[in-house]
Amino acid sequence: MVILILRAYLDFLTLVLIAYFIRHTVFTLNRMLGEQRLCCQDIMDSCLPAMTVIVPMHNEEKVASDILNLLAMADYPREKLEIIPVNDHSTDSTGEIIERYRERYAFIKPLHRVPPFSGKRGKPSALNDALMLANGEIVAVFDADYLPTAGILRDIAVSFKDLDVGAVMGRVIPVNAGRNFLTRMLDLERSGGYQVDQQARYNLRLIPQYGGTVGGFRKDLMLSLGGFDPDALAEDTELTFKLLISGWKVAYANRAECYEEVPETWEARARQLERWVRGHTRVMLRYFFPLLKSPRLSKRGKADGVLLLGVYVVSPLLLLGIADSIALFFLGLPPVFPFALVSMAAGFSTFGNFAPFYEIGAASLLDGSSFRIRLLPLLLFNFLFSMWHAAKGLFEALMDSAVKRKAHWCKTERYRAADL
Amino acid sequence: MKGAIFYHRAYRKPFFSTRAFLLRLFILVAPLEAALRILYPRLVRLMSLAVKLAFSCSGPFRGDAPGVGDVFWLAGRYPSRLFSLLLFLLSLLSAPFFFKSKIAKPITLWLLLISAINLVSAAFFLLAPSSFPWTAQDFSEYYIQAELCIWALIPFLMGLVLAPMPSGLWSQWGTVLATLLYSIIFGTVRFMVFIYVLSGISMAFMPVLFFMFGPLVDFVYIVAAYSLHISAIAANTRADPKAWRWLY
Repeated sequence: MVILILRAYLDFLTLVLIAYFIRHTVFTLNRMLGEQRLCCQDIMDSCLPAMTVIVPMHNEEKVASDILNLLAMADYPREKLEIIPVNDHSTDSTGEIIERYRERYAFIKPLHRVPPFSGKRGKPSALNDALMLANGEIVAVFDADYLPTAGILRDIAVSFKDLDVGAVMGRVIPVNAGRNFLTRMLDLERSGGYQVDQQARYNLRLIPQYGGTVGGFRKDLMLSLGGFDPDALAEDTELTFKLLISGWKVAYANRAECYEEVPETWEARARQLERWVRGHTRVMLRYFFPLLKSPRLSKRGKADGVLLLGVYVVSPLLLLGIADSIALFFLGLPPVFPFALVSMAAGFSTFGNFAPFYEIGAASLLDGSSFRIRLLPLLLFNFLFSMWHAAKGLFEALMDSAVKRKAHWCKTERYRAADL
Repeated sequence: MKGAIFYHRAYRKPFFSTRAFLLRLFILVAPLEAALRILYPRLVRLMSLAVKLAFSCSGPFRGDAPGVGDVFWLAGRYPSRLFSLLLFLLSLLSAPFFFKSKIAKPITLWLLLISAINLVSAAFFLLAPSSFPWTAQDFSEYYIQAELCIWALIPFLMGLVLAPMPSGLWSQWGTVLATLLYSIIFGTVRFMVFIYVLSGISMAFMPVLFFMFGPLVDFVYIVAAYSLHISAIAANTRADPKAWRWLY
């Protein structure tokens, strides 16, 4: 009986991994061979919507000036633009920095969420409060460490010309990619995730994900959907699925690039990954059945939605699969076929972590990276690291659900020198 | 529309059609798979012969695994209770050492997993040594079977990931063939190392050899071959607008 259960688990895992292998292979082939769908970013339109840019900030003195300088120079009609940097319970000089920009630019209108203000700390709460003040029809969100280009607000705004679009996502490029081995690996991963994965999902009319930054959404739509869940750790994933279930689309603008900082230490990466997995899993538990029941999605959309919701579950399943194979080994079951098959499927799907190696390779080729692609085999080391920390994040999410525990928001460390 | 739309990587696409991709995939995969199907008993025999010679053994092969052919094996060295106890303690005590060490976290996790597997194996040999279900002959046969799976996989996987790439058919074919040859040679050398460990050191290391240094490691060179090929194409194509179809 025990052997049957263990074998059945391996068979189930193999099917899951093969499903993801097929999905990512289809994405790669579509990006390389299929018809590419472009967001509207090459349309010139003098009739741009009023836009609010929200930049949540908690202790962001190292990076606040950079993003505010760049947004102040954005190529967008001043009379239609407002920027709301949100000082969210900062204990450093973030508040003072924001105030200096308020004095210089009339369209920068800070929101200070500091004592005696007693609202919950965290990005979703900060966004909700800023939404109540926003005058724009479209809201763009940037995390504080991002470095937006001059034209990106236009690219985001124009994408909403499609009336079915509820949210738009741009592309994220690490600015510190060359810092060390980890940042190079993360650059490869981001490249695969955006240049191939997101673009293919948009081409195939599946589900590009709104990533919570370098993107935007319709303000009134967001308010009608109840805003952001203040307890969410992955408010971006939640928004994506809220929109989809309500019949709205998410557009992906590959041309709209913005620079970000990726974690430079393994500890910071572990914390980031655990937070993403924990938040994503909470969304999965909440939206799995509503997704399947939604009358507004096609079967294909629902299938992709399920695979998207489950993307972070694969790693912990794989970790259990390794333990399962070892148990079967000691129970006398020939290890070859099951483990070899799991290894192969795992190799296809997860060698390269959340974007398989062939997606990353195709993306690097399209991006014009040559030397960095040679680091791909070293993703083997990331493989176990990601599996372990994804498993931790999943466990935390399941505990959150089981004991009705609230998660606390903790931001990723910044590495740039302060510009005061 | 804009008066001028500049070349941007978001608009790049190779000069390739689905039909050309499928044809290329067939050409990359079919001949090598057919050759493997015909030649695999000889390859297995050659592999076993190489290992037999490396261990300076004379006489005929010791095994004839069904469906696989001549497989070389040597009698395994079962661990003594003392060895099992030492392995158990070493694996157990290494965990806090690895946690506290300054080694990069990903490498630490790999070492911890290796220790965990050795810990389980040592515990098994301490508690139920006569119940260990595998012999050295079993291992050799299963190893060869795993190698055959990998060899069969390489043309298919490499073909699938290389066929849509904008490089010449011959260079792609060469990459797949080189990867396959490397796999055969690497597999043979690894086989020698595994047999040495099992017959000369201890059978307690059998699980860790298979699970941590077996099929999973094969992906390293498969991905390495792929990445070298792609980096060569990228170096040639990135600065040349004519190398790409642009979406407008």
